[in-house]
Amino acid sequence: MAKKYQYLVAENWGKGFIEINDSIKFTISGFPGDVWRVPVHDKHANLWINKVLGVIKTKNEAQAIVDALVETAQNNYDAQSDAYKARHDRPTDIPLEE
Amino acid sequence: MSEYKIIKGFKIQTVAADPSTDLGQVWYNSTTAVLKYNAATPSSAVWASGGALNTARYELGSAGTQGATLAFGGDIPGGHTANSEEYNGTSWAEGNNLGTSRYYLRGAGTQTAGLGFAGYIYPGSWKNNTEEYDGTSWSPQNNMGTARRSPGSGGTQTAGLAFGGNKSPGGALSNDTEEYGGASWTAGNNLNTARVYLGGAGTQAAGLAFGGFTDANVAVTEEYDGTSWANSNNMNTTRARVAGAGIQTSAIAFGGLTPASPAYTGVTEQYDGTSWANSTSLTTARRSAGGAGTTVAGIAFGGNAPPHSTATEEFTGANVPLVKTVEID
Repeated sequence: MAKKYQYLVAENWGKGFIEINDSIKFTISGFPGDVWRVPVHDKHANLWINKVLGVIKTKNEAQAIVDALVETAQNNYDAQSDAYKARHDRPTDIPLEE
Repeated sequence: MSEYKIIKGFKIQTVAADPSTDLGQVWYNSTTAVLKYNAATPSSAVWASGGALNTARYELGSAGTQGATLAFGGDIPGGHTANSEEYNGTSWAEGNNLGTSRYYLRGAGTQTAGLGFAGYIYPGSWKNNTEEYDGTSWSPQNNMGTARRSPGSGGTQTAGLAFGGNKSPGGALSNDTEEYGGASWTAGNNLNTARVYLGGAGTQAAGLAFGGFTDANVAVTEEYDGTSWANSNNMNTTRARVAGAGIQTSAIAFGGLTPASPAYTGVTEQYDGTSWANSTSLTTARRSAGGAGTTVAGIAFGGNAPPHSTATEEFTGANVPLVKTVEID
């Protein structure tokens, strides 16, 4: 199956990190750990990666970063009291697409 | 300048306020003394990044507009906060704290006339505290009739609206509606569906309730006419812990928790007074974010992605011109 996405890590510095013009031209999805997903073989996406000094990750590498943060959140949840658990949802896994 | 006239056939206009423009049009704003142009008019709504909150949080209170937003209270790692922050369209700055630290509170109004109410403090303390913000500091007001956490909200500091949530004993679901008149709360007619973690938008006389949690996530939508609630068409994506912005006839709902996997959603839907249509999703899926603004210029901030988030995203509605300033070094 042809790869649809590429993953990268880049620090979100706030205003200007994703501009309206970026969002008009391609879809950016964000995940825990400053992991971002953009279309592969897309000129505008590649220019954005350069702009934000993104470091390309394989899908598995990106998934590991996301999983580590989710697992930490799940462990924190599991260590809480039953009263806490009754008020909060357990963080769920976030599977990344190829 | 002469080149522009040759190309376009007319000189650059000098105007006191930004005009309604076509793509590529250039004008000089004499009020702000800057040269501007219409860089794009997106056919679909878009989200773009904004400045990060100083304090990561979710289940917070929110009020204001995209360019003048207020965030206060909420769930932080290890507890709750009284911290209050103001957004100026670019970055968040610390404001004076709430009088009562709490999470699961809600807000209404503007950055200079904000209203914070309801909330929760673990263990087992549902809050009916009401506080008003004057652009500088918070002051306590008369309590709500029903202490509750995570209701829906709408309106202004002098005409606020609270509906639903859960309450003592034991987190019983609430369908209670209360109207704030600037000094005290009075009971309104109940929601048709008692629920918690619902979204809210609109005014005291034209409110909107959407989504939420009963014994499961729901997509239910209800409209308030200042007297009673009427059912409307369901959202397309069933969810709880959803944020919203806008008015009853033009609202957006974004983020939340869905029953499907992945449970965190960035789905954005727009309501036109009758039905919901899918719009452009948040860049980062999250639940329990703050929301403010309109369907032309909305804003999402904080939430849980996980973990607690500082991320701000700014919503620009479809067919809204992207106006840029010509920068001359």
